[in-house]
Amino acid sequence: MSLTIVFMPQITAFAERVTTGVRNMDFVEAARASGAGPLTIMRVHMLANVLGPIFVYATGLISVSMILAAGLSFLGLGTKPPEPEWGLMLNTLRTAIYVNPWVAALPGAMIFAVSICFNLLSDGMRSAMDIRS
Amino acid sequence: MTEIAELPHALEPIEDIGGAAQPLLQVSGLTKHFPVRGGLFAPSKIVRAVDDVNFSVAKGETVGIVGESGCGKSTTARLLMHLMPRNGGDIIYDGRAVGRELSLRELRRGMQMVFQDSYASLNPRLTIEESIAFGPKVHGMADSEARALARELLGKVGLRPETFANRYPHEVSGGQRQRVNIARALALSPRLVILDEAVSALDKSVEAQVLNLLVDLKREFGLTYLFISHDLNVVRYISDRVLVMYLGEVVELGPVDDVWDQPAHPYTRALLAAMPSSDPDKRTEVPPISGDPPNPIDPPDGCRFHTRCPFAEAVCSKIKPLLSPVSKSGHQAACLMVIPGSGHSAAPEGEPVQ
Repeated sequence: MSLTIVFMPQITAFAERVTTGVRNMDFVEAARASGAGPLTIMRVHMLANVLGPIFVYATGLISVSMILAAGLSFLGLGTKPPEPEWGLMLNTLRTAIYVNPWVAALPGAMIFAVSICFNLLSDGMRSAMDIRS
Repeated sequence: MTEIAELPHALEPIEDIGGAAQPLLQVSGLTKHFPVRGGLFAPSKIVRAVDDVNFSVAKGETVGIVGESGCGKSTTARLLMHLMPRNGGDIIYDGRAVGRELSLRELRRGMQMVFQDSYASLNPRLTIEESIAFGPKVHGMADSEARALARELLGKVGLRPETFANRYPHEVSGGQRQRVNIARALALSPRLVILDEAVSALDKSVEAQVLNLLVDLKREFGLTYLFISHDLNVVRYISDRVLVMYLGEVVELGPVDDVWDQPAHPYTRALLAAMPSSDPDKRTEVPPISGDPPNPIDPPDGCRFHTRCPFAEAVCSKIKPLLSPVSKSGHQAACLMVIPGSGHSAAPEGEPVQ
């Protein structure tokens, strides 16, 4: 999906920022002072501290990209008809809104529910990753 | 060795080569310059963070390093630990030049450091036990053995292993965390421990406890300390000798009592005068020196202190004073007023020395 490509630089930039932050912490210095090689430091001290925030950030992006994808296909810029897609459904069922309002609203409700779910998941990840809680 | 008997799992400390007479650490000409990138068209400049620092640390003594913020104390510590490359100078550990006769890996067995920020210097995702055991494991100790050592060390720094070993750094208080950091430093059986503002972030009562712990540990393990602090009372309490730094240079060094009782350098005098007095009648009302230290990018010519020195004369901005003996006890100061025949009106009589 083209959205993946769009979001890739963002995630990379975020990962870079987090890594730089962790690298400058004193415990990495302390690990170097105890004579550990760079690979050991990356494995023991960096990885867990860097991956957590990145996962949280990435799950947060899922719901954003979902809404974007739905929006694009609603406008006819995304998926083409044989493929099922909520934004597309929303567009085609738009005309049925007076006949059967429930059916017309359902794809929208689904988009809403799923993106809320991913948001909650990202929040949950954040607190699960946070060692302090 | 007593230490091995008390800590059955400890690593063998690195060998004492030169005997008691040989300094444990000799530093000569230590220099660190940080390049500062100028603007797009401005030329790049150099910060002289540490400039030609020489000193030595005898076995079993505690050397204090004092000075105001930004004078190069912490940079010196990091240079000694080889956490950053230096621009020049030799670091000789127990008679062996680091990098040539002594590998970095060995040096790290022999020299450890405690950082100021007790929280940032522990990995938040490792338990206390794992953090302490990390060093010995790097040096080839088996996991179970390293954990056993970590628990023994926790006991040594006054933390009950069964309570603390499996806690995470955020679950213990600042003083306890600093004890953990001390245990972590001791885990490699070092002979020299650099304490970089190790007690500065603690409140006074906890600070006193940790200081006493440090004194006890020193006796027990036969350690040598390099104690960096801006707290003069603490330095006086713990140190045998003291080094006063100003703008990347050593301006005075000597036995702590000599330096305190007869400070020879005006900067040392100002530092000591700036100490709050416990007697309300002797309250310091006029700041002994004012203003910020000059920019180390462009240090003043001659004596670096002359821009703030109350005794500065014209000659001070021309001649750079070198460390010169003040008394026979090893007390030295870098001030034209102690150098005979230097041209300063307060200088002692005598032949000019080259």
